Amino acid sequence: MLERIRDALLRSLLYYRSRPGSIRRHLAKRDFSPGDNCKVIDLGRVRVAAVQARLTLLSDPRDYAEAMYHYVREAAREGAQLVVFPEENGTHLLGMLPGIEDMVRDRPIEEALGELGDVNLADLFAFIGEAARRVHIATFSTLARGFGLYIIGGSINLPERDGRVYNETFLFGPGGEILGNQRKVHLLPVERQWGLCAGDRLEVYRTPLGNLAAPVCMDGTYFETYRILVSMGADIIAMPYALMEKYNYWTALRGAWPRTQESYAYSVYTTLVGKVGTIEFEGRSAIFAPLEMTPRGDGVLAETADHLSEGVIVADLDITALRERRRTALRPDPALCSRYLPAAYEEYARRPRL
Amino acid sequence: MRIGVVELEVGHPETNLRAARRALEACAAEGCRLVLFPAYLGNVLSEEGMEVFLRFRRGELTRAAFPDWEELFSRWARETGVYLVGGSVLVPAGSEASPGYANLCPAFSPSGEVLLRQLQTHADAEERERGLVTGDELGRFSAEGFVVGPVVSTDVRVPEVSRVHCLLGATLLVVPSAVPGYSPWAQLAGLWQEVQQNQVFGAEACLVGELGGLSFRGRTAVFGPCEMTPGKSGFLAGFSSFYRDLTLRYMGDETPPELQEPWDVAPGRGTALTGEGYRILVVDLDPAELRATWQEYDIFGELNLNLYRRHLPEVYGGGER
Repeated sequence: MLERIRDALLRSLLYYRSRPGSIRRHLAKRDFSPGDNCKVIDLGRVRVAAVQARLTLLSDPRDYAEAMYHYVREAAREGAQLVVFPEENGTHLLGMLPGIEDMVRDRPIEEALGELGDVNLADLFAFIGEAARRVHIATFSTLARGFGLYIIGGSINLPERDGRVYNETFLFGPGGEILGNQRKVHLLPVERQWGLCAGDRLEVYRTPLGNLAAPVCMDGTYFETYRILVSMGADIIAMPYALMEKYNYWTALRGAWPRTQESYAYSVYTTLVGKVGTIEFEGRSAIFAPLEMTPRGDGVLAETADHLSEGVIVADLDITALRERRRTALRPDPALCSRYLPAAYEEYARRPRL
Repeated sequence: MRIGVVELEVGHPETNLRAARRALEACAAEGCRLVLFPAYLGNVLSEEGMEVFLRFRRGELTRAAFPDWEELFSRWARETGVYLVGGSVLVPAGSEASPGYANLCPAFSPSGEVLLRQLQTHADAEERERGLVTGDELGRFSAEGFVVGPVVSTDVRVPEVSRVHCLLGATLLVVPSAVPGYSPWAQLAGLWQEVQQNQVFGAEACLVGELGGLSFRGRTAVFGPCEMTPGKSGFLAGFSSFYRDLTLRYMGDETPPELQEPWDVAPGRGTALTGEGYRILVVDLDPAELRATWQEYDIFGELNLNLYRRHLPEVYGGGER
């Protein structure tokens, strides 16, 4: 009985602290210039920004809004029309749970949760989900409207009504409206252990900047993700990542970079840096294009200076040229693929290699 | 299984023939059980074959007779007792009314039987313009505990080809290659990344030198999943010019000590051989290493089949070419 009362009180507290009005009032005191980057749009020169954000547990939602504001302001001042944040960009908000920071300071979060009984990370995200959703949406909606640009606010783990938790991204338009959301469709085994679920659809958003998509992290490991999105018309694919490992040039090169080369779409690859408890995040955000559309022929338009610091980079994308090149690019043979691929997947499902 | 991956420097057909035969013998002497040659090998071994290649380059169609390369490779495989992936050969193909070319990769057993005749299945715009017709079948063969999937030339840029092979059991992708110009990035965007997204071994044998107005400067290499290679580079072997360019330039001060000195073949993996007109990477591969990698983390374990069932039929437009 006592536990249920405590639980209800905590939920009420989280609900109160996550009220959108508080976020909006906080941000209203900030400078939102320039606010007109999307006033004139030229598909020959769409400026995008990739944020390399630092993960910190934040107990006050206004601190979250403040941190995000600074990244967006920097991008806006660089002329960005689309700003992309990394995966797990809502995880800062776990800090709203009283005592969480002490709980995970010196040990893996799974171990800390183990002491609470049959609780996994997804339960934690589910518990805080509604509050985190309100803060995340209020923050990025206000920032997108304030600066008049498009924002993909990175990913956040959110519960569905049935209790399932998904890692998902939201696209905000320059009016502050949510233009769509995309759930991660390929998980890491550790995410399954945490209790997260994979989505089963891919979306492309048609905007004046070009057609955008925002799958998440491991989705970039599978060529199928880009193949499907590009066939749906995607020009710019935002790829929010959070790499829980020491940075290595080669392992980081897997994913968005090769997908860009084989599929002919631009990639805005964003990474998280920093340490929460015993988990360390490293990575270098970058903006990728097909090899022949980059000055050094290496498929990279911009890249952050190192894999430990936070920062914002920008690059100009020529959507018109990309679409033109795609017309003559190498394409998969539909007859061959239709003949072999579906059967190969089914065969693999019957006889996996492990 | 020990494999030999041959980089052949193209010259006069007689020189090429001699170099190819010596390279094969050198591989066999080193104990290789499978030998991979570069693209267009079957063309550069004879003047008639070379002429077919040059006509293709000029965009001229021909129905010219072609030497019996298959008999030659079969004999070579038998004489050396190896699985022989004979690179590829550009042959006149198509009908009388609509002539063209096909790029065919033949594979032979140690007793000289033809195991597979794998046609290149995709052509880029330039290849199509020059009359390359593509195959519509994908095959594999078994060799010494491996399932080998040939990925012919341009096919390495189409991920569906490698995916089909690997879903159906391939553990070693072999690519007969001839890369015009030098772009390490194009090669990384090819087999290196196919190996990473399918977690298998991959070997690419390159033709190098001048031929038909093109300067072929690709780099022969053997790849494995990053996790099992030095510095997690994905390279098991690669002549140092290629390897060092990339590693030192992009890892800088963070280059692990074992990678700071140039090497051709990763320590304990085999050796590199050089002869007149050829270089060879001799590399030992063990399927148990792949299994260990998969047990650690199996990329295929997270394939989202429901997603693919929903979306891919539309992507491939019901199979209409």
